[in-house]
Amino acid sequence: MDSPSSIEEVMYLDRMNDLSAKTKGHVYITPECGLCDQIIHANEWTVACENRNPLYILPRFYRSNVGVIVLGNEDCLSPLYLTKKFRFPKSREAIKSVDELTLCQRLQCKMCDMAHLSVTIHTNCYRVFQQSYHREDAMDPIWVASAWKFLWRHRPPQRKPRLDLTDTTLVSIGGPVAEAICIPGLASLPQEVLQMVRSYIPSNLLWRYSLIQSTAE
Amino acid sequence: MSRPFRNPFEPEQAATRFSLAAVKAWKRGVQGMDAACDESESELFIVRLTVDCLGLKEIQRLQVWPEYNHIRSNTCAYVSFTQGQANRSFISSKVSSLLTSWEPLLILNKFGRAFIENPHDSRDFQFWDTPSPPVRGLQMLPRPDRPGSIRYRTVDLLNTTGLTFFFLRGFIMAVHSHTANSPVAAPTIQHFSRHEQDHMIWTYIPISSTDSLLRIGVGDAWQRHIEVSFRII
Repeated sequence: MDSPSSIEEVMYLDRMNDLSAKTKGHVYITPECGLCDQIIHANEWTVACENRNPLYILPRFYRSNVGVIVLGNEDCLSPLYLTKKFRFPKSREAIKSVDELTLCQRLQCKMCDMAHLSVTIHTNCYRVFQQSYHREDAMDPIWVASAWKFLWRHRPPQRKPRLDLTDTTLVSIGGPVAEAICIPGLASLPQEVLQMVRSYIPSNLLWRYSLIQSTAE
Repeated sequence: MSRPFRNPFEPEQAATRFSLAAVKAWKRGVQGMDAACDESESELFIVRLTVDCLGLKEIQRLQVWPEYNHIRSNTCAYVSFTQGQANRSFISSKVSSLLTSWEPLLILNKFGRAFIENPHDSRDFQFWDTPSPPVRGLQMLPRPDRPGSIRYRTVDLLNTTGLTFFFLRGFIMAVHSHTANSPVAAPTIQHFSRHEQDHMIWTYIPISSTDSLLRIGVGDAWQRHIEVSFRII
């Protein structure tokens, strides 16, 4: 990126400068994944989003428990920036920096109140969405699928109510997912049986990924 | 009334923006938004939003506050805007990158999702688990003394044989209504962590169909008085 060769790259660099001026501050992170709604455990890998080209800095490999943060632009309509993956901090008191951002979990923080809307996502969920979305740039749909889950940008972000609306009785396993885990027969099971399977392994990644895959498609 | 919004950095993507008060009806995934510039319509109305696990699901315009109808949902939440609140809010809808031209009043969208921008005081909004919150007959509505939207859950006493209250460190964490379809209270606390479940205490109160319940109060160790809101129907 030393010598920008295209209009896009110049715009991209402008955005980066703009970003560092605006967002060097805090961003409030929640231990809840914006895509699968499950808890992100301490030391799990995560990413966060602001306005950067996602493909450019996307981590090349992921462990199962990693995340990112996606940070939105001022009006919350589009993603602005995607952080590098990071391990979710252990305690609310732990201050962690990723890129230019300070990840904050304090329940009261004036600096977080000023920050752009952001969502925290498991890196794996991010990747599953990206793979299932069969077009090049999945960043915008990922933003809409995660940040727009709550109706508006809640202020203060720390007091956003957990709506907890996931319908656990709705389970479906698509053919590709069933094949990927080498149990192709799973895709042809009736709902009732799938629900029983789910009740034995309620927090298995399988259910998360099936949900994300169907959202992306 | 409506004006398109375009993100200059992402010319392929577009969002369309309306005043929420101008939207007559909208459903996620359904092509188009029935928005109208109807300043002529002077009657007061309420805008009811339905939310599910994917986000905004439906926008409806109601002329009157709905009568309580015993419907409740675990997978949908409902929030109502007064006309004034709707006037001050805008709704953005994400349009497919494939569409280069579009009508301002008919949005064909690929993602089919919408987002509201931006109730300035989130404190004013109450999420309910019923599309027709029985607000009118309520004698009191508990409010936590902290900012932020509130999520209310209702327990319908119709066909209920008893209530189980779950407490953790003096606070009500859950209420289970025992009915023919859900006789056992255990599933109600399944989503709490093992640690929380181990430290909960619970109390069961049978409710007879021949008695009428007037009020339930809960006193706790700190001499605070928590009242559970009831409306007898």
